[in-house]
Amino acid sequence: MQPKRNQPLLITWLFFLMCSNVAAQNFAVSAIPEKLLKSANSVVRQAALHVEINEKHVMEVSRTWTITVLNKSANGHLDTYEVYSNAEKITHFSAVVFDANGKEIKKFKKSDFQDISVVNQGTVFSDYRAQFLNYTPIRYPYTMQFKVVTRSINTAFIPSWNPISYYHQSLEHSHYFLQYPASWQLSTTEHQLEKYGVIKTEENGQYMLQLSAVPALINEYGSPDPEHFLPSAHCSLNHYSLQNVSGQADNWQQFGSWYYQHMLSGRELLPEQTLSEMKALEASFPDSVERDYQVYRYMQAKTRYVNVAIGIGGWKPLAVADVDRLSYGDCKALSFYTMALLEAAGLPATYTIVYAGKSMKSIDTTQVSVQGNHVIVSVPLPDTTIWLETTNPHLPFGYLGSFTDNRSVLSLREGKTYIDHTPAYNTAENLQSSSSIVSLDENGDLQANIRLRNMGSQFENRYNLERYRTEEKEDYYRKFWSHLNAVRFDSIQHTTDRKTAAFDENIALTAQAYGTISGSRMFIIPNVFNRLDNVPPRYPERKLPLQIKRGFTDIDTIHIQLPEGYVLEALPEETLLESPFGTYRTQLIQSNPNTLMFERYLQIRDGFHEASAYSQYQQFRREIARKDQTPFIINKP
Amino acid sequence: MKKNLVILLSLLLATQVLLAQKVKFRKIAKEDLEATVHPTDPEAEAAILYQSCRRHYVFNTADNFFKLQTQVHQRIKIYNQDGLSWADIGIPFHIEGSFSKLRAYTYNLKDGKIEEIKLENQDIFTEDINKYVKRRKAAMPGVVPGSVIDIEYELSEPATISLRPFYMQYSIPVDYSEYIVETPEYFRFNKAMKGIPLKMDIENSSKSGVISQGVSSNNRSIGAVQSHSSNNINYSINVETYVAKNVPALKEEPFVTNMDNYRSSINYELSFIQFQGGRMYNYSTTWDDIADNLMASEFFGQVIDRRLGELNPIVEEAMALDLEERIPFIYYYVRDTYNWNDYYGEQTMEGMRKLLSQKTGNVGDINLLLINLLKKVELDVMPVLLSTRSNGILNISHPSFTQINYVIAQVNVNGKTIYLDATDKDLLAGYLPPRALNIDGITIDSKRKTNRIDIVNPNNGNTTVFAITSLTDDLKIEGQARLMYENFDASMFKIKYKSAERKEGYTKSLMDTYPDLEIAEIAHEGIEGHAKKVTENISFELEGMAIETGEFIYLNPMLIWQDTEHQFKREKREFPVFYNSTGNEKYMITIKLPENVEVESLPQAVRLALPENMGNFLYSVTAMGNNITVQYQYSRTADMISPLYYDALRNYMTLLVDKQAEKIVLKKI
Repeated sequence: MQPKRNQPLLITWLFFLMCSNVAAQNFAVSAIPEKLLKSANSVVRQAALHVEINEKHVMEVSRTWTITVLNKSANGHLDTYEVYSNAEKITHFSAVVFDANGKEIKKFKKSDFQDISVVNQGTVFSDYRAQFLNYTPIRYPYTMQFKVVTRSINTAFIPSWNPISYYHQSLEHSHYFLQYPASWQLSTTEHQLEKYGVIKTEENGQYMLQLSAVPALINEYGSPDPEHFLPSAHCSLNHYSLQNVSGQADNWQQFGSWYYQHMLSGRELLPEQTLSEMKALEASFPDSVERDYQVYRYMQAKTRYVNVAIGIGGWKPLAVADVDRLSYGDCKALSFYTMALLEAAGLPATYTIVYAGKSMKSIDTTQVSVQGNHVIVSVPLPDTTIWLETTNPHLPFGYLGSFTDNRSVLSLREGKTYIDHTPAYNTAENLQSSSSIVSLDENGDLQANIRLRNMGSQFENRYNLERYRTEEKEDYYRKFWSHLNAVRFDSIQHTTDRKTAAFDENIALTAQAYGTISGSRMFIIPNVFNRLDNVPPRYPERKLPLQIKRGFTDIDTIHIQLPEGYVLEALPEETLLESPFGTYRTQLIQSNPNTLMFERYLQIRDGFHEASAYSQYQQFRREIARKDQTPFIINKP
Repeated sequence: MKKNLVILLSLLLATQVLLAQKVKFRKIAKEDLEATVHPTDPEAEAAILYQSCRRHYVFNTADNFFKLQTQVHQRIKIYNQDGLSWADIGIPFHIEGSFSKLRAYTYNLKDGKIEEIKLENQDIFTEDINKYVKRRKAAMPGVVPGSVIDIEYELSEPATISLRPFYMQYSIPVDYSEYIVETPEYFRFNKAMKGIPLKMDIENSSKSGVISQGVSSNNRSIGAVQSHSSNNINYSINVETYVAKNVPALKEEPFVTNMDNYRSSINYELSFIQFQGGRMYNYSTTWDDIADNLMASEFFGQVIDRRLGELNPIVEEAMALDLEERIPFIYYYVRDTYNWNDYYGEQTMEGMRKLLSQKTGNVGDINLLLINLLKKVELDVMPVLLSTRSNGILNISHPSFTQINYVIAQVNVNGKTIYLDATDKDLLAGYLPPRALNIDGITIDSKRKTNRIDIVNPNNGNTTVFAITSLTDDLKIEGQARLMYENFDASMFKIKYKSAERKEGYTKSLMDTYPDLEIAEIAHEGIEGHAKKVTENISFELEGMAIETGEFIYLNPMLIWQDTEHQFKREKREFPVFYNSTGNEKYMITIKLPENVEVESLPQAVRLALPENMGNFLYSVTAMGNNITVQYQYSRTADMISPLYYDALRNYMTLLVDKQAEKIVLKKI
């Protein structure tokens, strides 16, 4: 069916009508509705994002935003910068400042904006730069209006609509408008549009959203990722272009072959010598898991992470031969290199595109498009799949950690493209177990030997310790056990098992005045080394759901030798706290007159809970914190 | 002449023999590749085996002036994976500079043989840092734990006022370091060593140089060299060589204002240029010269004396007050009207016109306006030049412009000295923000004479807490507390209160810090305005302060005000501890007990002091019938504590924490 000419025009006209309304808007602070001031540090008075893509793969983005900053803490809500590169150029950038009455007091043009490189680290090479404005407000509240226009040759990433980007920020009006060649296919992913009453208008070649009057949200502890409660829309087209390499894909299979052909193919050749080293590994290690381990260790020992992202280098990995020569690369290069090594050793592997970060963001499987911000390697074996993070030489074999765990990923190899899912770390696997021997003298001074093992997602909390300098290790433990006084370390030993991903700590220390003496009594907190004492905050009115992303289990055993001449005043009762969020159990057992054994079991389970359940969770954690600091009392009769 | 040259040459040679350790580029010792740990610092991730930097000036006929040439050779050993970041090179250079050479190689031991990998030009990048500086960046190829990297470059840049500092010390050990600076006789430099004094060999010598085409009809700028009809001009060159060996890694310590104060470096700054028989171009020589220059400058001295007609009403209003009262009046006018744009600088950035209309300026703009107005209202005021903490401690014996980056006002009135800095919205008159507290300052008096002053930290504050509470039958604490923050503590409280965003935010942050605290009512006085005192009244309920076992109840005397730990965890310390303020804290807490308990035991009273009267505390718990009174006083008189007393300080704080942890034992009857 032919698109009707007049309808798209109507939408365009509507959009401009709204924009012109905006221009006439009253920016006085007094014009902000009362309910938008509650808990707000800033108010989006008006925001419009206008994206226009043509058949020649030129994308023009015009963005205006007007924000009233109510107090100092919201200066950062202005977003006074725009990133650009050789492919994405800024053609217009301007700003206007208004006082509290909405009167214009200052104007800035493009040349008033400063220009900086966005990366300043030794390991990153990139042509990305940013223009930004440095403005010192004279008094609060004030309002700033920005307008920026950019032109890009990359149409593979269409700016998303995220109308609410900060906590303590309310919104008056936000518009999104996308125009694209009508014969192309648009795919959208929308979150929470209905819940917020977003008005959507859609035609062939045009897509428009508008939203009004959203009160400010406050940042609440343990809230889930924004898509669970904030409105947003993400768009992609079945025609796209990246650094002048254009493509068309209606399904992942097509996308995968385009990607392989243009980004990977022809760059996979290993130099002869490395190839023969891999062949030798294949011959010496018939077991495929063991061989995989050997190849991974080879790669880890040989390379380091250096990010070269200039032009197409932002998407295309360095050629395998270059990585072999240079011994460095970014995640794409190192993963592609690892794939080539594995391939040569007779282990077919896949190039796996993922969104990295603690938030478990999945590849949006409904949008066939360039996605992700990181690359890992997966090695499908007959009974299992092994996942390899290639940018960290210290990680154990097959360990992904919270950086890329439990999320949908896009796996690519020549001729095959599929959606996969990385493994999750479950509550029972994320185990920290400890066993300690503690003795106290009559001054309350303590001597202790601690053995600790960290596994699963708890591994990554501590494994870096192994590489600290001695003073840094001591500083870490002094801070970690900050309730111990005048700590002296007799020994600190660390070991990492690179195959099972276990990190062991073995520590001998002394501390002064651990037991508190009051008259003839001494107070001793039996939980010497593992206190969960940070209690989540209370909220009079919790708004957002609670998500515990990764559960964990801690099991501790402590043998306590009492000082000479003291007897236990009373044996505390066993503690058991059960809740929908987990279990806490402690027990003090007297094995003989002056030896006690303290056992503690804590499990916090992962899960998603309604906002109304939060106060119960807070109470649970508060109880744990209190119990963790409860002493037993001994007396010198 | 010839003889002289011979002597000169042998002198130079002697220098070489004495000092310079000749290390040839690309000649790597096998032992260096075989080493797996550093001999004196086995935990080092990497080490600089050798570094040599030679800076000299070459006359450039096109510019008719000298250009600065820098020749560097650096050899780095990587011991382990964490040391790999030392294989990332970044060389900053002047935007008009250029490299005549940049070569770098990685060396590895492969099957007992040395393998050399070249850094290819295609793998070297250049980036613009800002309008003045660019950077060459590269990641060395083929680097693995065990590698040695050899880098050599030559760089030509325009001659500027100061040479980039040469660092003798890094966070990794440096085995050998040499710095050779060759300056033409026309240039006179001030030299300063910064950081921990290192054992260093220093040698001075001279040699001669020739400008072969000194003829130029176009005598422009300061670069003008006297035109001679002859083609050659001979001049002498001063050569200074600094050599340091086995420099240990610099390790970070907490409570240090700026670690760079302790990192050893050599700094050169141009003092004057004078060509043969030509005019002298002065840059800086003495503090008096610097003061003279500044006072004559339209960005400093002229600002202080500038007429600002539109501010006459302010001046007139102030003149109606007593002399001493004019200080806060002017101070608060400037502080509250003008906004600091977060830029330092002892001179103006925007200028007075713009400052008055836009109400925004840098430190120079705001504090020079403050000085201007204080002078107009007939106060005895002087500018004080400073170096901020982030800029490093002032090196008084090496006067230079670049050391200075801040200005405040000093007022002498009725025998008192008052410091003023109007850039901080919450600071009271007479107090200084931590950035401006950096030991030394230089005052400029009305005769443009300078004086070095030791800025005695004026930040003194008091906190007083009165709490009247009772222990309930279900072991809760209920009661009211009145907290008073005075002077510097009032400023600190205001900052905390405002950054938490109003009363709800502050209350919430208080309840987040103390999960056992329930606040029924909270009120503040003195938050707005210029009062030196903020009062906070709280009605609260507190759980978890008392535990019960059998017939006994154990109670925390200090309630939520207990110091449960202190920050001096390390056993040893090399550098002094700095505090932002001195002052007193006083607590008076009463706890009314229920009828059915009696006191079994109380913590014993204690009084403890630091050596040299640097601080003390007093703690006592007494009972009168069913009322318990807890008294605690803590006072700090020193804002800096030498590492000599670190042990004493640490023990003192440990005892303090320990004392407060002692419980009141109650018996049920």
